Amino acid sequence: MEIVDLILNILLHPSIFVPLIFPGFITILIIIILLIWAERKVAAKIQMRIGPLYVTRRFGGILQLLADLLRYMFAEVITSKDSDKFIFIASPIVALTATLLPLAVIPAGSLLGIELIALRTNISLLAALALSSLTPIFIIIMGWASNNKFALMGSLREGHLMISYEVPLYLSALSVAILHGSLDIVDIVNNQQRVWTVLINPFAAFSFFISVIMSTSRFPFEITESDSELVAGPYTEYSSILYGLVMGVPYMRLYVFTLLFVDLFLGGWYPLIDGFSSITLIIKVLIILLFSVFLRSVYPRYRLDQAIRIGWHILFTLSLISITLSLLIIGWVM
Amino acid sequence: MIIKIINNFYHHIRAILIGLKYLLSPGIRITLKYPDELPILPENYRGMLKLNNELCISCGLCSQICPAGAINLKLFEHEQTKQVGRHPEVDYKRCIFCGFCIDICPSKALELTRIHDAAFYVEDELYYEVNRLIIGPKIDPPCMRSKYVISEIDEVRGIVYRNA
Amino acid sequence: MKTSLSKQQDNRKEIELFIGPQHPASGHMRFIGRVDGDIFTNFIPDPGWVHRGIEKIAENRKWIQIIPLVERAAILDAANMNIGYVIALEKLLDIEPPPRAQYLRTLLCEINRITSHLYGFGIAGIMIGSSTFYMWPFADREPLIDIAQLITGARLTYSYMIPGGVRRDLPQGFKEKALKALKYIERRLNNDYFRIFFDNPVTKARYQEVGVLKRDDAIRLGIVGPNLRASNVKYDVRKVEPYAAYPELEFDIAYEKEGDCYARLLVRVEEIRQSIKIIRQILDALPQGPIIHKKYEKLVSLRKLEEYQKTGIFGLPAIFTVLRPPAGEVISRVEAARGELIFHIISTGELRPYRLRMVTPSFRNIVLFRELISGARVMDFPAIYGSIDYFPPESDR
Ligand code: SF4
Ligand code: SF4
Repeated sequence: MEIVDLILNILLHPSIFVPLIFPGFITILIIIILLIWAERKVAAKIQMRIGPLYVTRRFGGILQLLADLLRYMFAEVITSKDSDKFIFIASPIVALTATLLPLAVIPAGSLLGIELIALRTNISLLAALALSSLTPIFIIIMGWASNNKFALMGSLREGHLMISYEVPLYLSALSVAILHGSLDIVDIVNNQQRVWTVLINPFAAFSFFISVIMSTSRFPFEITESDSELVAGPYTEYSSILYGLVMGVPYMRLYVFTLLFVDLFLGGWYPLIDGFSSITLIIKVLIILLFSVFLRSVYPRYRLDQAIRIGWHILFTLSLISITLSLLIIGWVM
Repeated sequence: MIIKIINNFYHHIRAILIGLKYLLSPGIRITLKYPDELPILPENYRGMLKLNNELCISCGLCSQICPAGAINLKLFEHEQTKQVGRHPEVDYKRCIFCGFCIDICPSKALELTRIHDAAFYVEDELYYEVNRLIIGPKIDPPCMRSKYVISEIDEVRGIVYRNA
Repeated sequence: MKTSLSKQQDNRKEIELFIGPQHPASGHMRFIGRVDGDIFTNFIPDPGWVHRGIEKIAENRKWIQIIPLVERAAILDAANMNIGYVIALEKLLDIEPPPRAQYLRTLLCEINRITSHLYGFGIAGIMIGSSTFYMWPFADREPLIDIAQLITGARLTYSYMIPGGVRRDLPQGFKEKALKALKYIERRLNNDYFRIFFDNPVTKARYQEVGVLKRDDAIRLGIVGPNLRASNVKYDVRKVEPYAAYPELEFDIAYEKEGDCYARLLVRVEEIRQSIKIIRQILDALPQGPIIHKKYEKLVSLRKLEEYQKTGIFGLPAIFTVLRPPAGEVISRVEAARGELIFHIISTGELRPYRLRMVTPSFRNIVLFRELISGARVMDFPAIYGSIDYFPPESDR
């Protein structure tokens, strides 16, 4: 019995439980499977189709992605002759890891009395934002290593977009920090017990959300891998399981950012359910995720220069407004 | 400028709302689950052919008009009636289902069937010799749960499928 | 066209981009572009990947067998391809189909025009990433294809018109079904399509002031069809040189002033509205009478004649297998969905034509790729491609 206890203790220790089980790897896997299925089903419903069906027919084809992954698993990994092979293979894996890093400092409520945060620091917001900006670099490297013109152009687009969404993203996140007077996400969430940030500073929420949409290449900003001229952007040369990985990266990024969004703007795990506050959190996360994938069936995509203009003209302005607003509110309260 | 922004915002909201409307309104779908639901095609649908060898006068017009060269005439003796004549054979590898042969046949020996699923396991089966042409095409339902449906045009939903 | 493009040039700033023939957006063709940053400095279309030699094959087919052949140029616009050829053949044979046949031909042509434009919308939608506007027009073709199937017995390859008339009369209860389908498509077009796509600010951003084709340029380049009319030229063969039942029907030429991608789409929207109007008129004022020229009516067998009187399905007379139009040279012009379609046929009085020339609208619009995309942004390429509704098989023949 001692061994079982020991294993349980290790598993339930936040620094293991968080990255591995919730909100980490296993949850992500489940959520991605559900999310991609939901995305396809939602699109199908709107487009008067049926969507995935024949894998697990009884449940509406919910395991379709698993079947696809299985197929990827057994496909041959093709690396083109002139590509930089080591970087070509390594960068998707590193990108995947880098995407998951911010989870270490993003709190996810508590489950059965365990605080779900792997690493509590008083600058966790900064740490999360900094870690989250690692992924695009590897996406750029992927396109570069592929030695393909389309991939290269996709990478360049990612680079262009990156500078235009990251500034408003950070500024609007910082305006929340100013509002709550703390850079610790746990403090920020605890501060929202009575009223959510989105109600106090909707501009920050708006520009943060649009920046997230842009950074995870959801529609209408699916520009990096825009298939009608770039085939699949930076991912053009990837095949089999590597392709599975690179396709998963934007979804994981979306999940991480949504977690952050809910923590910052939608009151995190409040209203509390005793002992299971994570459930509130995950429900909010799912709703936001669903909305972001729903946008695919509403929008075409913007042109690159238009997206950059939106980033600098609208979102940047909005995030400056939101900082001013936060400062004004703080000044007024004081 | 302000008006343009408000106008844009209004249209964004409208687009999202129409998406939500279709997401939430029940039962609008145009897809036919083909092997599971087999459509009953309208009468006079130009499908595969069937030959009535008793009516055929061996005139050969069908093979002369066929734009795809899918019809050959073959000497054929019917097993039971011992009737002999030169009757058409159809090669569905070539046939484009134009229906010219049926329309030109002076004695109405060639008939339309409403079957269009010209898919076979063996390539040679695509060639319909006279005796098979007399029997006409038969398809086994491709799936165990196949059922027949009738499609109807609907003002609200475009097309609805009713069970037949 | 300059072909030296694929040779290495010493401008190190530019990269050469081969788009197609295996590319999600190229269709059955290839484009060769030079990209400087985000701008195409030069853009050359390279067609011919789906050349089937229809003109040459036609020289080895009997006159009647060419009907299904020319349809294959643009299978989603089959009726308009068909009517062009049949009008030319009738000019050679010097016969005129009865009024009811003229109306039925027009009916099928207009249904086909709608389905063809819807197809174009779908392609335009997916080109700029709107998956919903890809699926919707494709799904909404279905009711219209269904009513076309009721008339002709086939979904796409109708082969409906024959020299002297048409092959079948309308079936029972056709009018109600057709009216229902028209109502459906009208509602979808005027409400849903506009809300999700045409009024969507993203669409407008992608289309407006992109790929502007000026009036003078459009005329100079010999552009045809909706692309021409979007540049403020009111030219429509149905009005200029009316054929079939068009002289008796009331409709307006759809046109726009701007000449950009958005205008080209709006012209098609308006054309669908006009087609719906035409179909309604036809359904109301369909003249009674035979559907085939009386010269041929007399030639079919008694059994077939009985069937014709009972079911309205006219059998082909046996003479069609040995049809020999008198020697001569004719030209026919019709307005297909993508623009003006020209058939030029030379007959030497033989079983087969001596020469058949088919000038398809897409073939005449292909020059737009070079004119509009050179100097445009990379992401404008799919937007412009979608908006000119170019169909490679139709162009390559
Ligand atoms: S349907 Fe047309 S192609 Fe097929 S056999 Fe008859 S004439 Fe030939
Ligand atoms: S099937 Fe009809 S057209 Fe063909 S040979 Fe027999 S009678 Fe003549």
